Amino acid sequence: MILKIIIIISILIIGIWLIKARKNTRVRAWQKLVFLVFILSVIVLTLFPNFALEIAFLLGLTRVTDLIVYGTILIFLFVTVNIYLKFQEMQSQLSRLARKVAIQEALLRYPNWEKEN
Amino acid sequence: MENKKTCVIVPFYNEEKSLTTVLQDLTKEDYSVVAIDDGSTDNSFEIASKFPITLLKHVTNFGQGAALQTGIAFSRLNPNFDYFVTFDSDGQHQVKEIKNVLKPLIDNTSDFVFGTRFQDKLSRLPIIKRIILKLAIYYTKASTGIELSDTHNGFRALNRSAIKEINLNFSNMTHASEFIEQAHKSNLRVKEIPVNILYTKYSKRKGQSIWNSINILVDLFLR
Repeated sequence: MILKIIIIISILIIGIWLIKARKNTRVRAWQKLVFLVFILSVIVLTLFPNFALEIAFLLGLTRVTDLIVYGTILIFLFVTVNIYLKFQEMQSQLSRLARKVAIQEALLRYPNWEKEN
Repeated sequence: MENKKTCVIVPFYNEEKSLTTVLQDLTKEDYSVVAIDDGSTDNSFEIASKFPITLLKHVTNFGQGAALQTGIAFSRLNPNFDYFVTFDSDGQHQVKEIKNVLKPLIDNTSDFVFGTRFQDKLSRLPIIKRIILKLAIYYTKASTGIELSDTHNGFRALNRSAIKEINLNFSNMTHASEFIEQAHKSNLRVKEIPVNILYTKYSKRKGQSIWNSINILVDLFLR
């Protein structure tokens, strides 16, 4: 039970931290590290399936399946938030581009716009 | 005061039903109008181009916030404008009320005027909408210290020192909160003026769903 609370609190803290500070290099490095850990754990767990059970016990779970389910949910959340943020960023970049185009084009049509009369 | 010195910024998206009346009323009063077509797919652009206004066009639809920011960025380039007004294109706002929202700017007692639908008239709305608007008011007060009775009204008036501080990043309706935040950050003098909103069947259909408040909250958190 205590472990579940710790997991929930830490995932919330990590989540908020990732969202709030996503632009800095350290966070981008962390994203890569998480991905690296994921790849390595897949390799390790394929080679030593029993190791997974030990980790599961260590985390207070009784089955490897539970461990995989929890892990998958966390990765899914992580990926979803990242894609959402990336999508928002692209939307914002696109609208800035459209704004530039609209203004440049209007300035051609109204050449005296920036002049005082 | 010459109305020509006031630039009315009108973003529109597929508003061919209401646009003619809105632009007619504005140009009749001799206001300078900067209209932004936010990628309309109907005849709105053709309708707007018949009027003596300044017309800009987004290549595709980005949302009211993006269109407003385009209008703001473009209109402040023109040194002949003293005041700027944001005005809805769906016919909800009344041209005759522009002089009311401009008054605190002309008297130089405020830099940024927000129109409000309900100073002490909140009770007329359905209960869920009332609760959400109340929450928005508390949230705004807690995060900016600015107390507004209507945080999401599109009728606003800004003077030159206010308009140069505005830079909206959100394309969707979250931009209404950004206006308040940026006014707060730049220490602008803010005031609320009551305006009457014409709730026609048409503008109601085009109006905001209360579900959008969830989108706005998520936007404000995830940035």
